Amino acid sequence: MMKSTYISIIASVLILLIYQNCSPSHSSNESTAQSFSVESVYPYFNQKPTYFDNVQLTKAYEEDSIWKYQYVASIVYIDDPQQYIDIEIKIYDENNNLLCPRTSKTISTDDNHILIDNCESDKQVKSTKIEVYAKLASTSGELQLVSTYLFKMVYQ
Amino acid sequence: MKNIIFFASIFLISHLAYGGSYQVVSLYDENGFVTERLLPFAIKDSSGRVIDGGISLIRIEKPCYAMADLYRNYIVHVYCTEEVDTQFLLNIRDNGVLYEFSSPSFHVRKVALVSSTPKDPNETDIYKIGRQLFNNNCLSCHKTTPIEKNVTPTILSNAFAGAVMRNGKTTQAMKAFDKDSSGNPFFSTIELSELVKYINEAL
Repeated sequence: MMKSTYISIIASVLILLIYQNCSPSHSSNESTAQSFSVESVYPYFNQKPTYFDNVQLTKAYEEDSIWKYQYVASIVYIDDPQQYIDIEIKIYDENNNLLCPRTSKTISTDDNHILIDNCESDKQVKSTKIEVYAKLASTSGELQLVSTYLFKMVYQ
Repeated sequence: MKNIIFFASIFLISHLAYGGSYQVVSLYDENGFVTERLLPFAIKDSSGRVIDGGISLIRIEKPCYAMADLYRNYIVHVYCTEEVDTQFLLNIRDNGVLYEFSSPSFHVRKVALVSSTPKDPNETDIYKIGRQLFNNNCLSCHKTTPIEKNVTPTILSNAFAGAVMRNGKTTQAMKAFDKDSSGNPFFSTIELSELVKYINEAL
């Protein structure tokens, strides 16, 4: 009986020690360091955002005298990413005229990547301005402007 | 049998005491993992609850960088300048306990036609000293008065002695401040060199 108790105690101490190694760190040298400051390299938000979003120009080429512009975008409602959101993306030329039809979609967190590959124009633009609008799909009212992007075009 | 139950109990107790598990959830679907844009990730516990104590440290290898969100203490942003497979290491505090764990690895694609890659944020600003010297000693006057480029340390020294080169001619337009109160040169040779570099290349 005594032997069994000793074995149990030793084994339990061993288990505790093993788990201590896998346990979270309790270091007092906690650092609040951030790897870098995004503001120094990226136009980060100057007020608390409701949505995270980004847009990138991926293609600009001429085909049969028509200029085709392709963009990709992502957008999410931050506080509840599962929410469906209505989005609208408008693409303007350098004269602030719509370059192509606006893109309207309802997206969810499982598929919040948007490919815009129907932006075609007879104009070769020097720059484009993108406006991203959004609202929760479950709410009524107008979509709100979320972000504006400006792209200076580079043609090869 | 008693021993098995005893060991099982110890196992369970140790697990509950120390075995917190967390998940890194991308707020974009994987098609949205692109270079040169912020990629947001939320840190949640196994029940889906966001952590309440905040992120204390993030480590990620170049060419990616990471930072905690400025407004929500459970969100991490990753920013990669090049296409890469990557993951990040996190220290978080939850219920007063510090935890360390890794994100899953993920692939970041380069799709941008127009590059907006910034300078390496860790790169040293080679004009930092010259800029500081200029801002502290010259800017108050040279906000409104022009300053000539292509200066040399000698030209600057003469200028600080009160002789200013203007359109190739020496004039006497600037208050001299080539010596400090002890009579020593106001700027060291190195400082003059930094000022020359800043004025000629970055001003």
